[in-house]
Amino acid sequence: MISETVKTLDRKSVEAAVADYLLQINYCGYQPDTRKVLSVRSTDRTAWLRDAATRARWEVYYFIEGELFPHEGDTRLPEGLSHTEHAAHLVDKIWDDLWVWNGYDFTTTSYGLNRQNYLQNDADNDGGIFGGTHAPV
Amino acid sequence: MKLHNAPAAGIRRPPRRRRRNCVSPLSAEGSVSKSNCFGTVPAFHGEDPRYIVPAYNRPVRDAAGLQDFLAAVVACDPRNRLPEGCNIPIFEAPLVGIADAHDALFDDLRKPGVVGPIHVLPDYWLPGARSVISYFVPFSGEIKTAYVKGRRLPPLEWVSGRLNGEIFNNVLRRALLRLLQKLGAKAVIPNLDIRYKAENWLPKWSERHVGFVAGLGTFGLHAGLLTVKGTAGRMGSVVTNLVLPPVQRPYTGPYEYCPWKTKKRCGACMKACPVGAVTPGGKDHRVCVTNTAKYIRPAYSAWGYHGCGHCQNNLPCSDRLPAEAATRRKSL
Repeated sequence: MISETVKTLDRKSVEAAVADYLLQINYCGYQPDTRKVLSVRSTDRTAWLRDAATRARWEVYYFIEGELFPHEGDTRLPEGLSHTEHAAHLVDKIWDDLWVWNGYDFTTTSYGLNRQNYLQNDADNDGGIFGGTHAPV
Repeated sequence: MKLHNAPAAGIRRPPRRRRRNCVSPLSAEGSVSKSNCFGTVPAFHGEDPRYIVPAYNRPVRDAAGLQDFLAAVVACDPRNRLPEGCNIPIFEAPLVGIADAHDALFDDLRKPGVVGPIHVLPDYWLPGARSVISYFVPFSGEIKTAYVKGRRLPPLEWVSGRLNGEIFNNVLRRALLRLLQKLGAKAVIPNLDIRYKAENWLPKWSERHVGFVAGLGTFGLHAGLLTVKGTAGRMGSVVTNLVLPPVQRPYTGPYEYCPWKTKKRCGACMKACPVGAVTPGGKDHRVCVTNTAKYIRPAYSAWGYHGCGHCQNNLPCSDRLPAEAATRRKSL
């Protein structure tokens, strides 16, 4: 069980970033942008879009095309759906995986996502900047 | 006055290096004539970076093919760089091993004194599992040379590489997952699974022990895995239902490559540890993490990093097998 007091990935910002991406690449036909990544910062676990480059400190990112959405055409806007509706649908499909991936990406030890055991058993704790999944809110 | 974000004392900055173009791993013919990782497709290192899996089209039927694939990810993904300083690369090309998911050694890992009953079988992660892919990815030469012998504190490059490297290790794990899915297989990453946990330093899935089963190497006195690319690196694994040829282990015993464990020779890792965590009996993890908490975390508090690598650097096994083990391995 993950404690309710830990920080986790902010779903609204993920949906907003994906929706914005869909808006961009479905304008003037379907032109997926393979440079775009979903970047998440450790401080509040919010996500936004940027182009891939060397990582900044305290962020992790995921390529939208291929890594988050592995199938070609996943990000094409279907007839009759708005970009926000399709984003919500796409995020719903990957949410469980992405939530766990992001939790581990911000975990500094090999104790898994359960901070309780870690605190009880290990002197090597920080509760700090990087140990985001487990950092106190 | 010490600047708040100044590197800890003793940190030596590596020379700024020009980023190299990497060879094309994507051509089915193995052509390396293109000047970037993606052949005709734009890539990192001067061109647009992109995720490697969708465009990767070389065969991945065995450990060698998977090794080529992961080497391409290491060479081309922009996340394989330290975020600070000269953005030196974190890792070099990995080693890949494959184990049959029903290898009897997986049962042995559950015995007390090996890992213990907390360790689970491949089928736990993926019912119907057929193969376990394990890899060892060595730290780059830039990171290893930053580790100055005799200094009590590890360099910034190492502590950053430890944490940022593990983030990139997750990229490697997920790249393998996506590649296997692209091939139509099912796959699970145990160490990125919600069910994963560890208690009292005993994990539900030990990357090092799985690497031993998959033929990557044997353990050393310092508890790290000794591979042909050394011991200074990180490990990862993926469980899949794809049938892949297992790698024949070129060893039998768990400590076969360690000169101290086999002939009481070497012991360099004992001398290297500044707090005596490595003893003739092995490594005491509690002493090791106490050192990290008391000395290394405070030294790097502004950076938010921690971790020590004295028992992985500047040793005869840091970036290769110890000489005797290498000779014995060659003769097999």
